[in-house]
Amino acid sequence: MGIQVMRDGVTFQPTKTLAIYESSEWAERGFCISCGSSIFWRLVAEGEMEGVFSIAAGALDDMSGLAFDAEVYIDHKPDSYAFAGERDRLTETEVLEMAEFQ
Amino acid sequence: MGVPTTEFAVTEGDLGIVKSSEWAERGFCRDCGSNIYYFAFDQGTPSVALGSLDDTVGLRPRNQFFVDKRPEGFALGAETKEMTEAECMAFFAPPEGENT
Repeated sequence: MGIQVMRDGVTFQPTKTLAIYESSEWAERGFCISCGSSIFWRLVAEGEMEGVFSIAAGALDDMSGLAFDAEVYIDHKPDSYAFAGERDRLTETEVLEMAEFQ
Repeated sequence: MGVPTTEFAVTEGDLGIVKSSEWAERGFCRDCGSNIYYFAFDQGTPSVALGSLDDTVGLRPRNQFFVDKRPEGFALGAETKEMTEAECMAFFAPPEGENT
């Protein structure tokens, strides 16, 4: 689960344990090299949304007040489970269209 | 997903292992951070991360752990066995020594 944060909305303290993985042409993922914990997904492609973060919800100490309001790449979800509740559910195509990468 | 230790091996890639508690370790990919497994030593069977599998047809969730720590608004749309933090600790953590 990720929390969208605008560019420059997060600062990182210098650390040797934050590793970066180029997960696609348009984005990178930050994780802890010591324990594997996901920290963020960040858009690196040029454009209006460059630098936008999705911060891993589990990386926060306190998630109170946050609403679970969207699921993305829903067509890639395994059949074996689903989250309860109503919210926007976007396919891969819909996500890429929103990001104007098609 | 639990698998017998004899049926599980990491054959390529840079596997990172972290002792996440006294009773378990976690395996992850050091190239990209992906979760690979959780292994509670006494249970005998590593739990392989569902997202690391190419084919998940036929798999269903059966257990949820630390359910009292769920974020608000987060729930699986399935009935499973559930354990709170206290129940998990009682089940997984080794008993305290006599001198503590």
